[in-house]
Amino acid sequence: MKRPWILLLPLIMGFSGCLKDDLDPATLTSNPLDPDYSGPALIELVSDTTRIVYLGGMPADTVVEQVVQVRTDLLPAGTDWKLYVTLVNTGEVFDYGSEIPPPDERPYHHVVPGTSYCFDYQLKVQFSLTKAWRYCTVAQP
Amino acid sequence: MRVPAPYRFLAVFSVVMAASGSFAQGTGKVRMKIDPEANFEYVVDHRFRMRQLEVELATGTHHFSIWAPQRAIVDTNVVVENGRTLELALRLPYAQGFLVYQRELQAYRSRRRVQRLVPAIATGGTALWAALSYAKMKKAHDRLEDDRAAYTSGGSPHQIGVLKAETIPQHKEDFKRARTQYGIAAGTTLLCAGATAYLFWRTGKEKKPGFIDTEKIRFDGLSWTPGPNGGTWQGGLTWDLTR
Repeated sequence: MKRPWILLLPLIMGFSGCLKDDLDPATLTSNPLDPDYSGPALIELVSDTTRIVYLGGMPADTVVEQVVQVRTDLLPAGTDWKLYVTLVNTGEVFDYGSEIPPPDERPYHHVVPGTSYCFDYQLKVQFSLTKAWRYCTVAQP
Repeated sequence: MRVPAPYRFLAVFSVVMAASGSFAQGTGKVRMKIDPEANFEYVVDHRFRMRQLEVELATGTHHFSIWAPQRAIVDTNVVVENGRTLELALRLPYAQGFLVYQRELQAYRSRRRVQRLVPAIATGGTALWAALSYAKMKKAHDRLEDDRAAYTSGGSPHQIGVLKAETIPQHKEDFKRARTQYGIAAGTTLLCAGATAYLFWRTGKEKKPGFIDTEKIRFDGLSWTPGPNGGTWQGGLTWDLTR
C-alpha cells in the first residue's frame, strides 16, 4: 500500500523537472527578419566609389555610390521584400522594389572629399523594416 | 451438526428415563421452531444437550435452555402431554455482548472509513488537481515551444517584434503562473499522500474488536455430552489476561 505513495514523489518531481522555461526573447536573434538579427549580413556591400559626373563634357558633380547585394538565400523562400535605403548624412529615404536599383539612383551629390558618407540598408517586408546595415564610404578627392 | 443415531437414541432414552423414572409413564414430542433455524442447541432439564429439531420426552414439565451463536440463552419450561406434539416457537434474542461487539465493530469501521477513506479521497482530489495543473503547465510550455517555432518561421519584422515584445513575455508569465500552481498542487498532493500513508499505517495497528461469545461459555457449562461409555459434564472458566 505504501509503495504507490513512495513512487509518487519522483514521478511528480520528474514531471515538474522536464518542463522548463528556457525561451529567452533576448537570445532569439537567428531570424534574418528580426530587427535584433545577429547572423551573417543580409545586405552586403559589394563595392563603393566616388565618381565625377560630367555634363556636356564638363565636370558637374561628384557623387558617392555603393553597390550592395541582398542575401536572399538567408530569407524564407518566397519572401516579398523591398529595399529601403536611408542616406544617413542627408536623411533622404529611397524605397525600392525587390529589384536592386542601380547605384546611380541613390547617390550622395556634391560630396566633399575626405568626408564619410553613410548608407543604411534595410529590407521592407510586409510594411515593416528589418535591421539596418550601415556602410560608409569616404569621398575621394 | 447432527448427532449420530446411537447417541441420539441414548440421549432420548436417558431423557425419557430420567424424566419419568418409570416405563409406565407416557411420552410426548416437542418440535423446535427456533429463530435462528440453524446452529441452535438446547439443554433439557439442565442435563441433556441436544441439537435435533424434535425431541421425545416423558409427560410432565421439562426445563429447556436454548442457545445459538451470538444469541442469549433463553430458559423456559415446557409441559409435555401424553401422545401429543408440542411446537416450541421462540426467537432467541441477541446476546448483550454481541450487541456491544456490533456497536464497537460499527464504530471501528466508521472510524477506519473516516481515517482512511477521507484522506484517500483528499489525496485523489489533490492528485487530480495536480494532474490538471500539470496539463495546464504543459499547455503553457507548448505555447512557448510554438512561439519558438513561430520565431524561426516568422515572415515579417513586425510579426517577430510583436512576438518577442508581447507574445513571448505574456506566455512566459502564463507558464510561470502555471508552474507555481502545479508546484502548490504537487506539494499538497505529497502532503496528503504522506498523511494518508501515515493514517493507513496508524489505523493498520489499531486492533479490530473481537467477539467472545460469553453466552456460549455459559451454555457449555450447562451441558452434558453423552458418550458410548456414559457422559461427561463440561464446564468452562475464562480469564481475560489482556485487561
